[in-house]
Amino acid sequence: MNYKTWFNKSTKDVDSLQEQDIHREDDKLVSPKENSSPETRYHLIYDELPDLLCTVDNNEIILDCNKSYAKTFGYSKNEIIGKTVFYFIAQEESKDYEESFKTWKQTRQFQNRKVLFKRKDGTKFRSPTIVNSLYDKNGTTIGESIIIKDIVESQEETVKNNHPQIQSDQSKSNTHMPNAEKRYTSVYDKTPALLRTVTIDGTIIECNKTYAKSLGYTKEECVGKSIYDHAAARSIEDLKINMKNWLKTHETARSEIWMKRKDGSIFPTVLNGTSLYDEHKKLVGRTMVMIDMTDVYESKVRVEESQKQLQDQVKRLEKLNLRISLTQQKYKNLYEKSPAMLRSITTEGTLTDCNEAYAKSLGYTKEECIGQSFYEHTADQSISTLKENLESWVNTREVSQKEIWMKRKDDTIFPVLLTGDTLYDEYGNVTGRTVSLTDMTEIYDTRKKLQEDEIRLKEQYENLKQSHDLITSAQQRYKNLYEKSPAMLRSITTEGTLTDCNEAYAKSLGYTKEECVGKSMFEHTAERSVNTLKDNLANWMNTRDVGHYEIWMKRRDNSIFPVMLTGDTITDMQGNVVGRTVALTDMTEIYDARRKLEEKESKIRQQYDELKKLDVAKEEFTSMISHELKTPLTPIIGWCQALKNPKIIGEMSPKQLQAVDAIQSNALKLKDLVSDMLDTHKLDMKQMKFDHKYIDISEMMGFLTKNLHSVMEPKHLEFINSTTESLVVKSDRSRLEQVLNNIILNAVDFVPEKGRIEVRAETKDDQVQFMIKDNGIGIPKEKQQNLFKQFYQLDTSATRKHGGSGLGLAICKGIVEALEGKIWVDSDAGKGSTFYFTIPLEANLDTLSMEEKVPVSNR
Amino acid sequence: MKVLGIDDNSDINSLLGTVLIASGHQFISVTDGREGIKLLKQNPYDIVLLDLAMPEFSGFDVLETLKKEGLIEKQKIILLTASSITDQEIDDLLKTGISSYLRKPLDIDVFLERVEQVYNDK
Repeated sequence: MNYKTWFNKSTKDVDSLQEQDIHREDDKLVSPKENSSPETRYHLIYDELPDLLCTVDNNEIILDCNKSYAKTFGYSKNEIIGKTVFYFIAQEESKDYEESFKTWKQTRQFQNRKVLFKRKDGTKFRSPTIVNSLYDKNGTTIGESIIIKDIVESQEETVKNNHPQIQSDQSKSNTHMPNAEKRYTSVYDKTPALLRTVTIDGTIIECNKTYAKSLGYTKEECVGKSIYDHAAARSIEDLKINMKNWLKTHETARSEIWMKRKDGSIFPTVLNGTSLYDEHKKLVGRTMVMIDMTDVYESKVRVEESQKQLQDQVKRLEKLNLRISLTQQKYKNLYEKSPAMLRSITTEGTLTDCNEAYAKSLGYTKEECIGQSFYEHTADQSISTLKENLESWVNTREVSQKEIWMKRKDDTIFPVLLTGDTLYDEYGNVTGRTVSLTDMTEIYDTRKKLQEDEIRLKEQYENLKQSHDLITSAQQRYKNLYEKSPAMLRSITTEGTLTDCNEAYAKSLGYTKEECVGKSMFEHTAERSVNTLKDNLANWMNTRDVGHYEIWMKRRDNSIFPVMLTGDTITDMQGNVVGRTVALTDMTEIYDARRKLEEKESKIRQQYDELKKLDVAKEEFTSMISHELKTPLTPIIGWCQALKNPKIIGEMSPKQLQAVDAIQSNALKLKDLVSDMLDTHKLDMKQMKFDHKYIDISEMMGFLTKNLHSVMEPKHLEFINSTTESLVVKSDRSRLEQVLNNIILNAVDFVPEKGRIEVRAETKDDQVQFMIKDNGIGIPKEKQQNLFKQFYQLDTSATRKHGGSGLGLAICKGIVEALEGKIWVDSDAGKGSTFYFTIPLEANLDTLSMEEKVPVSNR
Repeated sequence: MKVLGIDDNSDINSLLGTVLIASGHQFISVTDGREGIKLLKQNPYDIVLLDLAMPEFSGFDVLETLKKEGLIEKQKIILLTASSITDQEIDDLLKTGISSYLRKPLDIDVFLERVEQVYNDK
């Protein structure tokens, strides 16, 4: 396309704009780079056109604009280039424009409309606006050409003012020609354009002053010349073609013709023309209009320079764009490739962008989504939620997290979690928000699956319960045994936590069963037994044997009571220990019984002690009696002796002496009687004390015989000690002597005058046997059994010199038996009596020497 | 010889005193053990006749006090007792520095003989 086409187009556009038409042919507009010469012209025309022209790239950034554009808006060209077209649109309509622009992006059809623009000084004007796409060689969109018809109201005027010649020529040739004949000549001459009128063969028949002057000729020199004489050699061919075409079509094709001056220099013109006819409507010639383009060509350099500048700027901008787009690309990629569903919306909820994931998830294409309201993508049930969310966001600028349901293109719905960020423009105004929607379907599915699992588990549980119920009836019996057992039963885990217990257990502790279960068994244990129970638990874990323990339990009221703990280990089906059931037997009664026993024992001990004290008292009493009875006898017997001793008191008469003798003998009898009675008493009470010492029996027998010799004398008795053995025994010598004396003195009483008494000690088995043999009256067999009883007297009437208390033999028996021996008699009436008694032969001479080293007794 | 008799029974004191004086000895008697100790602290006696069973201050108390006062070594003591004290107990007493003992009721002749014997012992 050359500039002429452009020219036509421009004028045509203006016309067609008024008809609100769309120009499809303009889509074929070609990049100005195709042809350098038309390009120059293009710029010239572009700049000079009355319409406001601007060229934008795909991002709506202005790459170029014409003078009209700059002038109308009140900016310099440089100020304009690099700004977006939106900058020049009044704010109140910018959204509309954006809408339209989007529509254009999608449909490639721009709704031509009257747009409200804003000048630098803030004034506004409304003008019809046309947008045409620009393509490169490959048909790819590279930008738009925007044509704004300057202020609609004064359109005609503006056009006339800017292009008077062209416009007037056009109007004359097209519409005003017949009426303009009168004015023709004057106008013809004065017109600044070069005008010449030629015949059909190209001979100049007239020209105006401008023409002649421009060529360096006079008007007269020009007339009669051929047009070819005034054309530059390079344009002659063009001119010939033009002439030929004109003859054919009667129309002057707009051409670029170089003219030749008189001096041979050339200059460019743009040629146009009008055909002239005669009265017969026969073509006779034409008027050729040529506009000197020298100025235009001279400004070419400047234009080229500014073009170059423009290109540099474009390059810079491209670089900048590239950088921005790279950065943008990054975000764009993040945005685009994010697996999360992302959408950007305006404050009204209209989608300005979204990513693939978003569109795909909803079953739309990205393009389908953009421009739609987000409510269209929202399930009905969540619209109110989303509205609230939007309102809340507009107020607070915070996108609160919400779970909402989205609606797909096919009306299926799915849950998402909505979060997001607010978007601001460079002035800090909220322009929208980017929202991230996380598909919750899986989470919901998982939830659902969990619910299903729960249902399945419930079913399994039901099944188990059924089979459990079957077992339960059997278990119930055991359960009843457990529950109703009078023993306290509890089941615990290996940590000691109660999993169950029976009524008896709970009741005994003062709790309800429910209060017990889940508690640690240590809570039910008295502090004093906690360690024992811990040991028990540890031991049980090792051996699985619960064992038997006595522990103290603690009731709710902190009172304690003793129990016996026994139990069984509970194992699961794999044999792992899971706990134990423990039976606790209340030991309170047993403890009470024990205590009672202890009390009784203590009482008995006390009684025993008291008795013992009593015994001691008795012993003391005996000792006291002995003392008190013997003490008065001392002065009685002593004074009797003293009285009888002439050296002490003086001589007594025979009668006095007889009286003192009587007193003395009776006092002596009383003394013996007191001794016997005390001995009997001591033997009865087992209070008699014995001093065990080693005794040389033969020595003792000899001593005794010697001592008693005086007793034998009055009756002239034969008293024989027939002991031959040398014997040593450990015993109480004084008591042995007492026994021997008693028996011997008894014998003395019962043997006749010149009778015979024999005494002997000898070993018999492991005993020492004493024998006291007399030839007295003897003792009848029937009386022998009572012989050793207290107060038994063989012959109460018998005149006796010694004893007579009837206690003698009883005392002998008591002493012998106390010395672990025996006493008996071998006798018969008239045959004499032989008394025997034994004592154990505890020691022999060998052991004697050894045992003498040790103190015998401390009593 | 100078003999001190300590016996709560004054009849026994007078009997023993009569017998001893008749034999040419000096005899002083008290019926309370504490008085006896007072006298023993003032002057030593050749022989002390000591009854064991006395009310309030017994013969054992007297022995204990003399032991504490360090007088028991210097004093010849013959115990006289009517109590049912065993031979063993008497032997034990003899080991603590007692010279001799006699059981009541006494034989006057045995008594005099014993007193003489103890007096003549070293």
